[in-house]
Amino acid sequence: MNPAPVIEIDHLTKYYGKREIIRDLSLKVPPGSIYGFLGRNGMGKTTTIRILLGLEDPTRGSSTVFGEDSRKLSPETRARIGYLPEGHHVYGWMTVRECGRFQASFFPKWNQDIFETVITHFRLTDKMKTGHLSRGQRAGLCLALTLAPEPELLVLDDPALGLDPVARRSLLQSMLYVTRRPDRTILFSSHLLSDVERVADRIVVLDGGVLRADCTVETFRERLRHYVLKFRDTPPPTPEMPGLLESFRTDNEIALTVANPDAETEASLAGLHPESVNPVEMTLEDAFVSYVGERGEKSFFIKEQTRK
Amino acid sequence: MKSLIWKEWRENLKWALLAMVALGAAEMYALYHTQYPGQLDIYHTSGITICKKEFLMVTTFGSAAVGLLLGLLQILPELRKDQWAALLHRPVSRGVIFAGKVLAGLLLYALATVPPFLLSVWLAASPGHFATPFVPDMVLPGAADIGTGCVYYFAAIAMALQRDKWAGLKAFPVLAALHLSYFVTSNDLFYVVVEAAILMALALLVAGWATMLHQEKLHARPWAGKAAFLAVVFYGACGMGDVAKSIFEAVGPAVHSRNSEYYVSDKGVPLRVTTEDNVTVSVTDLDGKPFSDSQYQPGQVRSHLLYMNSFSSYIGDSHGWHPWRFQPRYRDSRDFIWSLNAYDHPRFEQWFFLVNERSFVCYLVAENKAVAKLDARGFQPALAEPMPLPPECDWSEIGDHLIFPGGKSASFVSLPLRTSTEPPLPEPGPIFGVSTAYCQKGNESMAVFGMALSRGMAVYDRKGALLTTLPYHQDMDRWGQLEMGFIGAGNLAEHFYLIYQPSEWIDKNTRSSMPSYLEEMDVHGQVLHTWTLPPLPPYHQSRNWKDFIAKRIQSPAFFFGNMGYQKIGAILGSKRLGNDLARQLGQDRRQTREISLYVACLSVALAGITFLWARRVHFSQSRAWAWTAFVLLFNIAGFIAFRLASDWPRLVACPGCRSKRPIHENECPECGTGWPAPPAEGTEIMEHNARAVPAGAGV
Repeated sequence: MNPAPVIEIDHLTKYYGKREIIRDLSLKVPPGSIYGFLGRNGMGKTTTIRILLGLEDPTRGSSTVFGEDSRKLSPETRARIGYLPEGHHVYGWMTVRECGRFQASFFPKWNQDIFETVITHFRLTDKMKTGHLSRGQRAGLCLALTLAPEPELLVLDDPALGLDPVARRSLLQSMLYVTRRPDRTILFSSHLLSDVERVADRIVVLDGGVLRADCTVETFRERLRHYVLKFRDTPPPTPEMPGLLESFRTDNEIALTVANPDAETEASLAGLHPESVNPVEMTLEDAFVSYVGERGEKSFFIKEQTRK
Repeated sequence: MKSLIWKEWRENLKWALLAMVALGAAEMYALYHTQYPGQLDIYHTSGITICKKEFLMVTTFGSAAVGLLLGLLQILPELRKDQWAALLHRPVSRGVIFAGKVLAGLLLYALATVPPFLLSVWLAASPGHFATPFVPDMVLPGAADIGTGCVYYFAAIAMALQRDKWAGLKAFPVLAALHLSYFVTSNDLFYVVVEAAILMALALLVAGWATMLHQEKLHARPWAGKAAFLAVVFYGACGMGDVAKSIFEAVGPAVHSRNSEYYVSDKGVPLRVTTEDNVTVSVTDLDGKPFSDSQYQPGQVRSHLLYMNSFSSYIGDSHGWHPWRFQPRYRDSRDFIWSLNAYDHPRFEQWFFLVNERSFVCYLVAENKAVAKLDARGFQPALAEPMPLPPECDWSEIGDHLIFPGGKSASFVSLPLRTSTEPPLPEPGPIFGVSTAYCQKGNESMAVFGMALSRGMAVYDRKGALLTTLPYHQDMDRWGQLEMGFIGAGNLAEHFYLIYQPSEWIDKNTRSSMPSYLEEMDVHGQVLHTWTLPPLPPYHQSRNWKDFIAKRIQSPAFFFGNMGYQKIGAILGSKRLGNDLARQLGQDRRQTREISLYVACLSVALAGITFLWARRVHFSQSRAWAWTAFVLLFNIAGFIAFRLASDWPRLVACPGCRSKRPIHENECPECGTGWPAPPAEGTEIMEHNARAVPAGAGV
């Protein structure tokens, strides 16, 4: 029997005014998993997280965390959820020590070792004024404040946003170091797959507020294919085919990215009578960009257009 | 909770200290500021020390501004999405977070407002700072303002938390507080003001708490929060009405008044003087003919009238009717302390009457200290324990002389000489009242006291010497309102004038058709001339459109509720409430009926519109009825609340039937279809049965 999901989202829809931000989203996050919540900016990741934590109301549908309705999360349940909002806000007038004490006063459990380990990792000292910290240090302090209560569920909203690569790496390292417990669930949003692939064992992709992918990282990589079709002359128009994400035409090439390719896809490609069809290995980042990027045909240096 | 209070305190202490310094400086300036620099304001026209208009201006606006700013500074900077989310996600209830903020905020507000006020009170109360007395009641106006500022603090909290437009629903808490300010500064009774402030603070506090629990939808808030929020919107609409009234008053049509009165000129000629908006527009004789003499032209006549005490009191009514009563106002220091209007300059000492203590106190102007007292035992040293004058003991003043009419005798007091005499009355009491009259001839002037007795008026000079007795020649039962004047100067009065006016106990309609009489008498009380003064047209005022409209669009719940409250009050023995109700159902009956009709019709019409509108935008049947009832009770203010505060559904075209349907409903109210699932593109990658991998295993 599958254990009860830590997070359960059921047909969630959210409007801002008359604009639909999330559309009919359903998702279950089992315990012990690390979910990467992906999508471009403005696709509904933060809104979903805010609804999950009861900070906003859904327009329709519902969500539960640890079996409790998100709109009525009790303080006890909140204590089991660590939440790191984007922006890494700290009270600028407090010292690092005061920040820790302030945060600790709310939680039934507080692991000072974790707090100190993380702040040391970010080269922070107790007496530093948080208003004078760099962005990366602030992110580290926020992470320490989130991890020290040892939450069972960690919800991180774009934790690496705005950080340089070193700080980003440092943040992810400490997060993984501290959270390597099999019973800990992590939901962590980002618009960069490179962040997620180091950490997540499963990804969820939101595009235009609609759930487009819910799979492991490996499956995501496997299910996306990039083909380069070479032609002697001007390539023919790209045919309609299921799963086509984007096509890129040059003078004598068509580069296609296809989701869920099968025998029918390859038959369709062969029907274009190319000189050669080369499946090209995609990096995960490229695959993700194709997946959430603009759909349809793009062209570059086409002879007819140049002549015009 | 302690951590939250500590955090709020530390975060906002600088603002509270800044406000304290600013408010303190402003209060000190107002306290020591004089209207005419270098001169003593011996009349204390704008009030005494902490009751001065300038000082109260600072406490009124200053406390409100401090409350408002502190509330906004506590919430707005933290309201950025991520910061607010971090605050709310802490494992404490939102109610606790709200309580922590409010408790800290109240402490900060008290720190900003109370010490400067206490300093002002100490300066006003301790000897050596001002040549004016201090009574504890003088603290009330400032205390009311600090309480009102506290309401602004709650308003700021509720306003900042509410998710809406600043020019929309968000403004209503502050408008509600503004309505309270209008009430606090215009109402006479302190306890009524305190009640109103407590109720408004409670409404705003509960509304703010409920908004903290649920910022988006009204219907998701606890019932008390909903009720409080609707009360805030209602009073906000009233505040909007107050602002509109003020604007209308400034730019709308002016209210004109017209009044006619009888006077006697300094040559003994009866005059009929008509004023419009307090400006004399015509002066005629009793037959209505204008005078050709330049001194009776409208612009000149004021300097040629006998002062007959006609503005301050009537005397001589054997029915004991006193139409003019001093209306106590808690914001006016005259409610607690009367400054005796002596006109001898320069003056070294200033006398005051302490209303509650019922005694007089004298201050040495140059040294700012009390030097003498006058009470039931006579003159006393300043530090003597006062013995109050009896409640029935009235007094009148001329310069620095006072008269105390008793039941059977009267005392004449000279304040500078500290002496008192009690001359015999020309006939046995009772004394029905005392008046003063004044006459100036060239550089010489004279003032007298007139004492209304049963058969005539005894006239005394200021030192208590009987000048004459003027016998009555009219039916004193029906013409019992007397005014007295004289022509004379120095110590010699030549002619006396008595005006007999219809008694106040006679009903208004009968009185308006009765003539008055004027008698001229010599120093022996012999009548030289009698004039019959025809009834004057009643005081006329053009329509005040501001009040006319406001009364007709008021809430039926409050209009009829107020009458019910007055009725209950009257039954329970409140004379004030009983009189108010009697006036509404008596002399104002016609107006009351008309207002009831307007209020009822408008409410019913708006309630009908509300129901139809609510159903059109797919409010549920029960919600539509609830709002209809609300509008029926609260009229236009209720309608504004319905439009702004209700959870107005967003409508989009139904994919099934194309009619408008609310986005929050799962099924279309027209065709019953649900919402279609997002169309599949063929690019979806779903793998629902993936096994959860322990955290960190992939690294």
